[in-house]
Amino acid sequence: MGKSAPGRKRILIVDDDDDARYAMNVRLRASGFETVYATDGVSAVKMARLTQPDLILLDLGLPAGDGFLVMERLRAFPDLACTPVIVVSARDPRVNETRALAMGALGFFEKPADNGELLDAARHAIALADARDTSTSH
Amino acid sequence: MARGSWRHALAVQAGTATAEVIPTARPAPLPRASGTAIEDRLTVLLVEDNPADARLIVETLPHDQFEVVHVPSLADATTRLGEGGIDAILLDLSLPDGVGADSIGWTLSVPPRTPVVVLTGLADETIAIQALRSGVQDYLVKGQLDGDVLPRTLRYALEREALLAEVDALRRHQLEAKDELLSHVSHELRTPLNAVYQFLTLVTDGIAGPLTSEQAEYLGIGLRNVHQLRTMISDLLEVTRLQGGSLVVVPEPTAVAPVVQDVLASLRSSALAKGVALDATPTPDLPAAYVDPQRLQQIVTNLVDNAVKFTPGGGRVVVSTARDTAAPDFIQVTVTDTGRGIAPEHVTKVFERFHQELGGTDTSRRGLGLGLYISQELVTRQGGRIWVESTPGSGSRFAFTVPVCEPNGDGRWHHGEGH
Repeated sequence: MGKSAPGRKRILIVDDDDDARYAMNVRLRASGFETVYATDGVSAVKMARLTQPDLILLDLGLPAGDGFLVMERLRAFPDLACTPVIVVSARDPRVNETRALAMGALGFFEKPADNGELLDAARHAIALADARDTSTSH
Repeated sequence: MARGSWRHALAVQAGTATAEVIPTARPAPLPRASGTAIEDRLTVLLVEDNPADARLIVETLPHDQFEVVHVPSLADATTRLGEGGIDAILLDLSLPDGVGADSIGWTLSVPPRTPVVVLTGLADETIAIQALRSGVQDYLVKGQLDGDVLPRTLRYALEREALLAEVDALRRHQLEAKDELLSHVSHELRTPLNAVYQFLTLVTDGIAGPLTSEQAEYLGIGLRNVHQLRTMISDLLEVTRLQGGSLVVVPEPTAVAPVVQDVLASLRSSALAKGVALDATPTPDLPAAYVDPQRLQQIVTNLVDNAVKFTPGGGRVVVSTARDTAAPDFIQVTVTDTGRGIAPEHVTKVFERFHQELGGTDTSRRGLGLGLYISQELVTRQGGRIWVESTPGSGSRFAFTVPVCEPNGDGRWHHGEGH
């Protein structure tokens, strides 16, 4: 079972940089997604609970709990534990990528991330989650 | 990070990091291996097989200042060192289980910050000097030892060893601070760069409405410069890691040809835009290489990107992969271009840091001069070598090798050793 209405998928953008969030928001909407956003670690979890997104694009350097802490908190909620997360961060991937993937992120994109690759990864992650939901509900 | 605040954050961080790079106070001296101060009684390990010589040395050293632990061989010395509590070592250079160079080799296994003073006969002073070059603190000629020289030599050796350790720790600390600073600066630079990239691509992708061809061209130039800036930031970080020793290379069995194909695919459109053809000539049935696949990709990208940069329109860049005919345990990757070549006086300099070869066919594409330096470091750290041959006027040929990785009969992997 998909979390949002069939057809239109919802993506939660978590980023404290206003410009990055704005641009991502415009691009995702232009690509047919519904978007919601959060600007810090606490509101990210709050917003995820409230809106039940199909995918979370997560920055690492955030006020009020960094991206790693957000991932940890998400895992504590049964309805969010399986929501796919893709990390999009300006932090050094050599240090942070392994850690993010170990914590369950599906991908790590270093800012500035290639738009085409990021959108492909987003669609792929949502399709995987859908397939898993469908197989477990039968 | 909120708009406008990044400049401030950068300044603050630069301030803190500078304080770390140049410490205002000298760091506290490191404790000795056994925590002794200069005036404490020292425990000296005497490695000497001749009982008469040993007795002489024990008697020469003042008993209130030195406790001598005597062993007759290198093997016994190793055992005794393992038990700890040794402040310094007096080592005879002709032992039953180690003569000359053997003994010098053995000193490398001595715990750090334990100074070694070697004892030689008059005849083997050459070997004593060789010992100094490999980290031994001092040497004394047997038969010329007296009650002043021996204790003083040991005390000085201990002091020098402590100073060296201090300098070493300071250097490491500085490199770490530099690494941390650059990692932070890189993060802060990427944030605004990301916004520029995002908004430019919103326009070039037509999301903000249709573009005239002139607008598309201008924004395209803007984007190309964003990419260049991104590469520069990555290269700077990479060089800091190389110097600080925090660069990680994880070799694994890797097929070389697909990596080359990936690189060519990603660079082909920009090469074609300036009229340069990119081709690969792979060798069939080439074994896998034992190499970090991401690093291999980075090296090939650097070399091909560089070749395209110096090749005029109508030219060609070819990447070939084959077994190294001179060293069959290695695979050789060669990037040949039809560019203007490198002047003989510059051939030896192209792998140096910040070397800029002027006169690329695309003058808007200046870099930091770090690509070939990074490639060289990445190749040598994986056991290979890299070189260039060039004929001015007709092109250059950059080549590097990586070790072959083949399954043994027992199913394990083996790979070639360094040249």
